[in-house]
Order: sequence, then C-alpha cells, then structure tokens
Amino acid sequence: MTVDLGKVKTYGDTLNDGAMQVSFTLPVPAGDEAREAARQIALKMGLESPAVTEMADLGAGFTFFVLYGKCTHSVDFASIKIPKQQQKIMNFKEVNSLIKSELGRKVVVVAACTGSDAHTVGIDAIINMKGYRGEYGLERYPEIEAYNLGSQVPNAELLARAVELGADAILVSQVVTQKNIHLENLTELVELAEAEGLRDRVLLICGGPRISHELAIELGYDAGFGPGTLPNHVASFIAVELVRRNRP
Amino acid sequence: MTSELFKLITATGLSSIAIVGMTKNVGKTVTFNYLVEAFEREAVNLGLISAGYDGERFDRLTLKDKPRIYAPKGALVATAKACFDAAEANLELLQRSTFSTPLGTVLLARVKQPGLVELAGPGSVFALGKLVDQMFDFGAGHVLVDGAINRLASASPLLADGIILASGASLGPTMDDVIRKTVYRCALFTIPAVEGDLATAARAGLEEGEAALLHRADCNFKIEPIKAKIPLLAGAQLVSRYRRETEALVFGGALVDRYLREVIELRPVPPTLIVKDATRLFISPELYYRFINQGGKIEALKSINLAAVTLNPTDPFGRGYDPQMFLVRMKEALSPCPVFDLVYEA
Repeated sequence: MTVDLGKVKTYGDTLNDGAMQVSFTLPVPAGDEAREAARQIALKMGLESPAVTEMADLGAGFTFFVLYGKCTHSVDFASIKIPKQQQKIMNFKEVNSLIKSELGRKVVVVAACTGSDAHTVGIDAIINMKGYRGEYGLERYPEIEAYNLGSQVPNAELLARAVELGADAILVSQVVTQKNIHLENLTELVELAEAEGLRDRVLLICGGPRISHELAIELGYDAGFGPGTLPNHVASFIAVELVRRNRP
Repeated sequence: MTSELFKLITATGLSSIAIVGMTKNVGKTVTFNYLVEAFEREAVNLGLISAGYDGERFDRLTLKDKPRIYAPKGALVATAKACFDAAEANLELLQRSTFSTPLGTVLLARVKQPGLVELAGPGSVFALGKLVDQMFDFGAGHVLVDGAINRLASASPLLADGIILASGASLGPTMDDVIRKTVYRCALFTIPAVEGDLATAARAGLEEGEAALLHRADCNFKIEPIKAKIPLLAGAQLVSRYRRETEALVFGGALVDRYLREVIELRPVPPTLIVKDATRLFISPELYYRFINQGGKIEALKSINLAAVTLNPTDPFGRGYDPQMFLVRMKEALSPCPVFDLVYEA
C-alpha cells in the first residue's frame, strides 16, 4: 500500500476512497427538503454520493447536518513547498551562557502593549519572573535586564524610553484583528524607528495571537511570535541575533 | 502594447522604483507584477525585492488569495532563505547578504528557470538600499521594490529614485474618504525640497545635532544645533528655543503631531519646518492643513519623486466603486499626478 504523493486523496477506510465527513448548518427548518438541500450543497462541494447521517433541528428555522461523502479531488502533495523558519531554540541556561560568553554584557529588553491595546497576558507570560508553562520569564534571566512598560504605551514614548534604557530589543504585543488600526499601530513603531535612525540599532519583535513569521516580515519586524510561544523562544532569538550582529 | 505607466517610468529614467501602499489590499503586487511583465516584454534585466512579504499563497489575516509573483528568466531576486528553498522558479544563488528575516538570511539569486517566487525582504530601509545596490552591481537594469502593508518607509529617497503610490477602496468607508486620504498622502510626499543657503545651513545643523534652529543673521543663517539621544527627544527643545529671528526648525528624525501643534502656536506666521524627507512626517491632516493655511511651510532635504498613483476600486470584503467614476474623480483630485487603474484600463 503506497501513497501516490502526486495525487493525495482524503482517507476513510481504504486508500484513495476519498471519504470525508463534513458538518454545517442551513438557515432552513428541518425536514425532507432541508435534507435534500444539504445533499445538494455537498454535491456542489465536490463530494460524490453524499449521505446525510445526522440532521438536528436547531430551532428558529435552523438545521444542523453531518454528512459523509467521497471527495473527488486530489492534491499534488509532492509539489507543495512551504517556506519554513529554522530558529535555533535554546533553554534558559544555554541562552544565559551564550550571552555571557559571546556578548559579555547584559542584554536589555523593553516590552509593552502599544497603542490602544490593553491585552497584557501575552507580554506578561514572556516577561514576568514566574514565566509560563514551566519556562521562566525574561525577568528571571540573569543575563537579561527586562523592563515591562505595561499597556497602552504610545509608540513615540516607547521608543524614547527604549533609547533611555539602552534597549537591545523592543518587544511589542498586540491583538491584531482584521481591523487595520492594530496593524497600523504595529507598523507605526517600525516607521518611527526608521525615521529616528534607530531601525538598525535595535531588534524589533512583535507577538500576539494572530502574529506569524510572514506577518512579522510584512510589518517590518525582525521576528514575530504567535500562539504557543514560550519565553525561551523569544530569548533564544534575541541572543542568537545579537551575537550574529555583533560579529565583525 | 506598451502601457502608459510603463512609458512614463522609462521616460523619466527611473532605475529603482518602489511601489508604496496606502494600506493593505490596494493592489501593490498587482502594480508590481504589471511592471515586471512590461519590463520582461522589453527584455530588461530586472531586480525584484520586497520591503515586506509578497507572492504568498493567501493573506495571513483575511485568508483570501493574494497575487503570486512570477519571476522571469534572468531576473535577480532578493529573498529570505526559506523562500529561496521553496521557490517554484529555479534560482541560482549569487550571494548571501548579512541581513536576516524571520524566515532566514536574505539571499541574492538569479532566476535560471522562470516560475513563482515568494519575496521576503529585510525590515530596514538601510538593508533594502544595500540589496538594491547589490542587484545593480549584478547587472540589473531596473529594480522594483514591492512595498509592505501601509509602510511608507520604502518611499525613502535613500532606497528608490521614484515611487508609485497604490491606493484603493480598502482605505476607507467612502469614496470621498479614500480620495481625501490619498490626496493628503500625495501632498506630504510632494513637499518641496529646501533650497539655497537654507538647505546648506540645515544640513550643517544636522551634522552637529539631532535637530537644529536656523536663525536669520546678517546675510546668512546662524545655526543652533541640539544634541539628544534621538531626534524625537531634541524636538521639545526646538520649540522652546524658538526666537523672533528664527527662520526654520530642522528635525533630524520624525515630525510628530505634538511638535507641529506647538509650532502652530508660535506666532502668526510660524517658522519653516525642515525634515530629511517626507517619510519622516507623522502628522495628522487636521494639523497639517491648519499649519499650511496659516502660511506655514514644510520642506525636505531630499524630495520624493512620486511618479504615479495606481488604484484598486474594490476591497477584499467585496465593497467597491465603479472603476470609471473612481478613476475620473481620483484623476481630478490628484492632478497633475498621473493616475491609473491597471486592471480596468487593460
């Protein structure tokens, strides 16, 4: 039984049977007509011989369905190429010893929730001494001097404070939604840093539930951290990048 | 069929062109791809780079499809290692740069076999500028810089000879609002260059400080530089040291609302404000127009060459305007700046 990676189909009981389960709600009352409507939707989705196995009246004229069918489509798995980031992740001890041996000074990290954002949970998990999920926060790192400026810090103030504290890295947390305001607040920090001639002197790092590497690049940040990030991931990046930049 | 926009670019002799967006989804990459195709038809060797991340399969926030980037044979591309590895086009590595992104070091490569590429560039103007120069060194005839999101820093004259501003429906809730915001951005991008002795004095002032006051003296200017850790911190002193004979205030970094508001209060006709270039302006339209109406002037040490504006009459959430009407109204509002809707006009 070998999988043809050029034509991967969904799997149920036997290879290439294309079986799949879907569930959805229609805004119509339960009944034979609703069942047929659900079947037709599945057909249009490319499912062969769809069978409605569950129909539940949700009340107020809505009905929930579960269907099984055979998906007629396949994908060429072999041709899929996804750019992947390869970050070296070190533990607490490794980060501290790298900073100590390669930089020979403490690393200053300034963190804040900028603009109108007051969601400090993310930044607190990374910075606070007690840390998160068994990983110490940056405040606990002997070789890192971490400052948490709190929430709703305007970008200009954050930059000014970062300069006064001699920051090596600025960490901003932002709950980005589809509304542009959050994105614009993140890009404004990058633009201000650029205008002030600071862009190449400090690492800019953003984090939040919707942040990915790709989005971080688009926003102009040196790194972006999304859900599941632990303090040592951020610390590893800062240490490795500062050491890299420190090399002649 | 050489297009008007392409003729305009070649006629003005721009060798590096940045496509700068007013916000997300205004058609930066559509304009970028359009120029790539036009240059390819003319067999011009191109350099391609992004100030952000372009050519990805779908938008990371809206999950909608994005325009891919097709790199023609012989073109030079600068992109992060992970994108180099995953490119559909066959790329030949020319040089590793010293700049890194969250997807790895930026590599310079030549396209051996044409195909799709994802372009991920560095976050700083300095790094982008270096990479643009390197692409010219490797023989690029023209370099195109695809902008990122709403970031204007790639309009910097340090990076590109000229820019194309992409604007569109996703910029605001109504057509009037979109036009107003675009007109304002164009007004800022086209602030005049400071000239003559004032320019010399302003440059001299920034040699010695992060900001400077230029006072009228007998037949020249007396320069009073201000030192600070960053220009933003010097700005406050600039206003407090203002005197009756002050001709101009020179800002070495960002000009922000707070300082502009203070400057407006100074006297009936406020001093001229000088910035390095228009990417340093972080001011709201209300204050800007109040300042200009009072007879205030904002000038730049280096001006930006705004070659054209391109329009996208629809936004990804389906809202949109009649392309013809949008184009006509925008042309009127932005005259004499050339305006194009590359999709509609094709």
